[in-house]
Amino acid sequence: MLRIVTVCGCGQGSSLILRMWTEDVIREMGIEAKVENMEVTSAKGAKCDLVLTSKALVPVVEGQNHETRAINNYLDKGLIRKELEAYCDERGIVYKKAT
Amino acid sequence: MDTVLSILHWIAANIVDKASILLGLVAMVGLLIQKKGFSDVVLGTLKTVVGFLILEQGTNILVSAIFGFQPLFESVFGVKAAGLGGAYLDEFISKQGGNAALIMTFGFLINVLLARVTKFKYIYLTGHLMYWISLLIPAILLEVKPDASQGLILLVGSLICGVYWTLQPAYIQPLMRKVTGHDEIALGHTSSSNAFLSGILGKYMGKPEDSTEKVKLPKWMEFFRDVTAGTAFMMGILLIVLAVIAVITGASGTATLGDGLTYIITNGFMQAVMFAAGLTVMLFGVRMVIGEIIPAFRGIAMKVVPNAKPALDCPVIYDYAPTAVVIGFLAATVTFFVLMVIIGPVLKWTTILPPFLMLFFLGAVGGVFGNSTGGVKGAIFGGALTGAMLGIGQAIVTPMLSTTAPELAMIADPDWYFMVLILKPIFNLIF
Repeated sequence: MLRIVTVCGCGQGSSLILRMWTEDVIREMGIEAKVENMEVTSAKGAKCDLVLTSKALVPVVEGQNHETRAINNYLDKGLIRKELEAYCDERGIVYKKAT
Repeated sequence: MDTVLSILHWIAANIVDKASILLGLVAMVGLLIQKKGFSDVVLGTLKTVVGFLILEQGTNILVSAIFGFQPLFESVFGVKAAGLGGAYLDEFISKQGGNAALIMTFGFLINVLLARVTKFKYIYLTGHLMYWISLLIPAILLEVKPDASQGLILLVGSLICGVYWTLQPAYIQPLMRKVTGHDEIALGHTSSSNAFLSGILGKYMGKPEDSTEKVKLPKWMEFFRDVTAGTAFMMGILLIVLAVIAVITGASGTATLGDGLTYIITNGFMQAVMFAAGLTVMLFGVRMVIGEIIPAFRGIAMKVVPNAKPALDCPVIYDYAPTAVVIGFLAATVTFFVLMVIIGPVLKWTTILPPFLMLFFLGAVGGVFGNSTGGVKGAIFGGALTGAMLGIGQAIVTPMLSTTAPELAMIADPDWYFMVLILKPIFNLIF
């Protein structure tokens, strides 16, 4: 089970939106993953597989406990899918290709 | 018949009255509608209930920190903070949190209905603000009519929220298109008023061609990305400076240097970090509460109004002009601090507290919208205007909520201030 964390500055609105959109993409890709959202302070030490956040916040949240990737537009499912596919390809995780 | 009545009464007293349980129920219904598995439903429901209790504890800490440093403000500025010292936000949330949960739900349903039948196809998804406005409207109503029945509170609250959540994204959309360059997303945020004014007036300040994105900013400004640290830093500087002034002028009542230093640390620094702690815990709680509810709302909305635009939290616009974000924030902060000194020691009107969270997020909105029509000068204007609205709004509105939840005025966005200013007189006329 892949553990993904979505992050925004305040942990209120944007990270939740990214989380919902990411959950949609995960469903489309047919992979097993759990997504949580939080703000910067909690995310820094988050023990998970992958952290998704904006380019500006990557230096603030990257750490040893997880891999961090930037999603430049939280609303672009295409971008989210691209990052997740790249992540899965690197680890040999199987997923449904986009139609 | 008696049994039915006593069951209904039991439900009202033990479930509806307990906001945490009510919110849990809303989440549970939402999870069941989305056909989530058993463990997801149980976990999601419990997280929502616990989240609300965390939120309440956060507001307790916040309120006690405010009481902790208020005397410091008052002794240095020589003015009492008007309106505070009456009712408290934490009590208000305990009593009205359940109603807020219901208003949020009914208001959402009204939003979906209006989106379906009118041309305003916007679905409000900024959950945490939906929660706060669902609390604010009852506060305004109860100020005017303390004996308002629960039915009235729910009716008035849900109607106003439903209409606001449908129309607020609509009126700001033309300017939003200027900012984003497309029509895919809408803004669902209670900073629509300062965004609107910044966008409309920004064009008189400068030219959009002189965009903020042509300006380069120093690296250390990235520091303010962390809400906890940023709040602690800003409040810390402010309170330490005030505490030092209090010790020097003798207002602190301390005699020795040792006592003075202790005063600066306990009344200055510790209160500031306590405030940041309360804020962090509160935000953590809100996040947990809406974490299951908003996905559920979205699921429902997508089935009923499939071509609706989501109205989203303000940071969605930041990436369109990241430098404008910082410029707007700085302009807002400087303006607010200047106003704080004018409103306090100079005019002796009242004391206002700098809301770091709003100065950053909303100053940024003012900056981005101001930049879209007026470039750098527009961004500075937008930020400054936002800071002014936050400062003057807090000063005017805090006493207007003095018998219910004055602290709402300290964590408010400009739209909240307009709501109080517009609705309170209207409620006075009707009720």
